[in-house]
Amino acid sequence: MSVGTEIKREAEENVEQPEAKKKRISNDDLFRRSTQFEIWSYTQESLDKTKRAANAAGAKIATQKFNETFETIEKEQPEVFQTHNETLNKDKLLTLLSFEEEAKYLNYYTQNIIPIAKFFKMPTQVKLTAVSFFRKFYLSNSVMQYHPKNIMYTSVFLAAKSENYFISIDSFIKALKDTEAKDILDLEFIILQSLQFTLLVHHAFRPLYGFFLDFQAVLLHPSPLMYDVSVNTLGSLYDKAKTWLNDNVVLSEVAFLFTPPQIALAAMYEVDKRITDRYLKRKFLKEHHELDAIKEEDSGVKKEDSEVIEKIESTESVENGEDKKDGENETANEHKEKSTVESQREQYETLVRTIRKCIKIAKQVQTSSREEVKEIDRKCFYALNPKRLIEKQVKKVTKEATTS
Amino acid sequence: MPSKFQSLTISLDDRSKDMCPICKTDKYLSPNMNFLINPECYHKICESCVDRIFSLGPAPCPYASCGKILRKNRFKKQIFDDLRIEREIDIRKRVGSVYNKTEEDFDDLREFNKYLETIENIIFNLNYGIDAEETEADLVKYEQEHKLEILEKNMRQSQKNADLAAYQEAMERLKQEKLRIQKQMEVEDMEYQKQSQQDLLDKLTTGSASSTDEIIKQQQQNALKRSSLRRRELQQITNQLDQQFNKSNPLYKHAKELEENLKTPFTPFKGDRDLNKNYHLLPIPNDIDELMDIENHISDSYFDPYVNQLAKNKEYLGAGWRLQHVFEKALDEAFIGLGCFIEKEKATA
Repeated sequence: MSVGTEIKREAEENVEQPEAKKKRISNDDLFRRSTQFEIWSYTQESLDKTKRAANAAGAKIATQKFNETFETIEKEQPEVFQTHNETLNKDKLLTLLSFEEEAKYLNYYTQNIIPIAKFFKMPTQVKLTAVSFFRKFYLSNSVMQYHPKNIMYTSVFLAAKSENYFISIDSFIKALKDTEAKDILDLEFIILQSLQFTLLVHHAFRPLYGFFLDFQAVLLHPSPLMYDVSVNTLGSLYDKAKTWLNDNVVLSEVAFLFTPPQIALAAMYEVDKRITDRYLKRKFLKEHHELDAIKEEDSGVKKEDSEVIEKIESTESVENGEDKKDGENETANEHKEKSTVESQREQYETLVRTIRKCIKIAKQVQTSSREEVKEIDRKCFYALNPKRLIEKQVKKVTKEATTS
Repeated sequence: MPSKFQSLTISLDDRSKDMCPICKTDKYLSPNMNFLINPECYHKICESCVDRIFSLGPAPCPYASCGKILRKNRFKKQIFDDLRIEREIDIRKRVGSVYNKTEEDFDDLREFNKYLETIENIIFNLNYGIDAEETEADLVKYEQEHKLEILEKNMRQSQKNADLAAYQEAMERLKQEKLRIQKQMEVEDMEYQKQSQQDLLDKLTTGSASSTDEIIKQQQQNALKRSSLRRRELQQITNQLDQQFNKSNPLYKHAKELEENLKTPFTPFKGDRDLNKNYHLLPIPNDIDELMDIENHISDSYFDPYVNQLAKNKEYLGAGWRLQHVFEKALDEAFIGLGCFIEKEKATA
């Protein structure tokens, strides 16, 4: 290509630039560029849909595998299958996991990651990443394709590597019962593929620390804003919020549905609603804050605040579409206020609504006990190894025939 | 076609490399000799042999076991030492003259890349003799079918090259012109200086002794005024010339755009970062003295006993670790994505 065309081409590229020149990239835009938002963020419905699709795909593969094995075994011993037609029947023998069973089963293994991480003395970050890897893997795969046990171990191993807490494979498998290095290393790439090679996971703990600092800046400086809030109260709030995150968020799906700062704020809000709300108001309703301070000193709880919260509570149950309508009503009511104040209020309200929703979902943590899972485990084993199931049945039937 | 290339792989030892295999002339003894090759078979023959054998018209290649009919006008000097590269370049030239579309002929980059891929495939096939006859036939067919188009593209290309050449020429002319004007002015200045010196001498001889200093002073001032005037004049003239040149220059617009573009720094997100932070950082001790005595300096800063204690650690300090970075990073992370409402944004997407 000659220099002339090169100049021209460069010039053509340049034409697009000037209009983009003025654009400013906010922190939120930055987050929107992350893979965590682009690939791994879902709405409740789409998350459900993805999981169901994974389950259906897994069932399809398991059925296919079952059929193939059934036919080969049938070919080997056709007379047995003919005589015991009723028990050795394709429809009767096929075992698949339902969507609910699979969810329960996965929950159980997710729970198990926590003691494993504890055993290796891994930092929270590694634990969370391992959980994230494990969950993400089963968004595109099913337990009927890959048994969760080794996937769980590999997730932990991979997370340790990606979070810079390296454990050698030898010392890792030494601690695990009947697992070989090959089992884990073979799965590594498969997991990476399912993760679409996105290894960076943003967790809520870092933002939580950030908020702990910003709470101090907003609520304590230059002078304390609330008479009963000191550094120590905030410190204990921070600690409790961490515990809450560990108890609720690790095992729930909020990481797919909300951004890390939102989850962090949700933890703060759940632990101490009063302080967090005060912070949010001061932060996001900037024009108001002096007014707020006076009113709060006067009557303790501001009347308007409770109204807002009520409004939020009522809209929470309502569909998304009506949110806008609600906002319009509000503008009609408060037309005397400036539009900037309104947009601030709207921003604040959306945030609080999101946080409350996050808390609600995080509280629905489902734990599965060992007993519940046992039955599912058996089913899963047969779904993965149809040959064992069919042979077992054949043996059983022939044994019955000989004894009778 | 494959057979044609097999002979290429004959390895030549150092001595025969510099010797014409036909007339056995050695480069060592006649340093002026040159080797020529013919893209038909790439056999090396010295210049005098080519003259001798092919002057009377096409003749078979003198190499035993080759026998290709070669023409004198096709002989050329070897550029690359490795004949395989030489051949690939030739093939590349030939295919490039047939497949001569450029990126502007395609709607998107994907299509263009596809086109480039086909070209590379053809070159590879011809070079390594994979389906060579078929590819050759395809190439000829394409050439016949797209004759007009190829010609048009060729013309466009040469037009562009001419544009560029004209631009460079004009640029050179402009430079010459500027230089000439500058020289002329310098000569004028010199003359003026001589003149004024003469004047001064005359004045000094005729004037009274008391006003000597004054006269000299006035003279100096005049000279200063003049030189600044001249400088301005020169600037004006060059500016005029530049403008004139730019008006007549087709590439000026692009050059200007290019220049403008250079002023915008590279931004990976097609825009600049919003520099307004969502938080106000409290004063954080950053001075070494303050850090060593951190207990008395954190009353206005963030409270985190663990991290604040680390700030005193000399190993950390030496490595460039600062308290401020820790707090800033944590606060940044707290506000990245706070305003992203996934449910809303993913639902509309």
